[in-house]
Amino acid sequence: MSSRRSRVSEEEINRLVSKLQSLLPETRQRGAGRASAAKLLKETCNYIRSLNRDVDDLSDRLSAIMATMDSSSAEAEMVRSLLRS
Amino acid sequence: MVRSGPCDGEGTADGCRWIEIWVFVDRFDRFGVAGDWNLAGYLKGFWWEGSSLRLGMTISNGDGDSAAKDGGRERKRKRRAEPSLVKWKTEGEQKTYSSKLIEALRRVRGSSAAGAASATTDHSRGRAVREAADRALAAAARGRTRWSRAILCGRTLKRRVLPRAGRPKPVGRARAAERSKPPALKTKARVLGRLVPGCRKLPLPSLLEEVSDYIAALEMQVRAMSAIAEALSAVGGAPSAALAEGPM
Repeated sequence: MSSRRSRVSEEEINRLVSKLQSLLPETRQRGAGRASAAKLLKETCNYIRSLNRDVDDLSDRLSAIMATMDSSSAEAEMVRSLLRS
Repeated sequence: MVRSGPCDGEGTADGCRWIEIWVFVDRFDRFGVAGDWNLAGYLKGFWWEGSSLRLGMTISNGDGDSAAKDGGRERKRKRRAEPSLVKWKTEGEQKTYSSKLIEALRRVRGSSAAGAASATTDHSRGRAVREAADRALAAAARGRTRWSRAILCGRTLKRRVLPRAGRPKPVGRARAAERSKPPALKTKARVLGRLVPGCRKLPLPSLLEEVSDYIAALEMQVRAMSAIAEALSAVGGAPSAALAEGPM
């Protein structure tokens, strides 16, 4: 079986990783020049972690809001939010 | 007829090697476009014994690559699932997600109110919300990405489904390809792979594709949940907590 497996060369890796740069907010704003691949990977990890933290905080906040709302206004408000959007 | 084609994905998972299987379609065939390589699916759990290929199991995801330039016959061609990042930024997508999330929240609320309310702690309620939000997000991805499929399968797909097939004999070329990556990048890539659900042992190109989609999806999730929290807290009269800082 002839396999034409594409070996992922270093340039290929660097090219792929630099594409990440546009996703990260910091590098987007600062318009930084090409950062090293390792730094970009690290920034990506940190960014994902911070996004996860945000989602967790929002989840806690939402559960707290729902807990304090009485059922009738909760239902009403949820329906209203749905209708609004 | 299956030949090993332009395989741009390969890796190891639980003792199994996996590669993308590309089918070269010589002539018009239900698999794909004639005269071109088409992605037939993913083959996992194979190993080499001498020169022959042994199969443990197959997980197929038969998206055919519609790389047809010529008109060809109009037929159902599945496109290669390349997740488009733009959709996560559209208002429509966010609204759809918000509706689904609110539905899920109502269910969560209903179940926790009816059940042993005393047993649920703040933390467990928060977790329930997080899980509902994640499942809704994964559903919004419509199974086009690995991370979304992993979430919907309860993130245990790899452990549950893949058997420990025989120890694969790594082909020499594969070993060399792995070493071409500097170790610093490899460790960071591994950390990144652990952060994204279901992407633990993914090779770098596919991993980065998953990462971009995952990040875009998470950003939308944050935007949607912030909007919902704002809407609910404005009316409910609950003290509005400090605004969760969104990345956008």
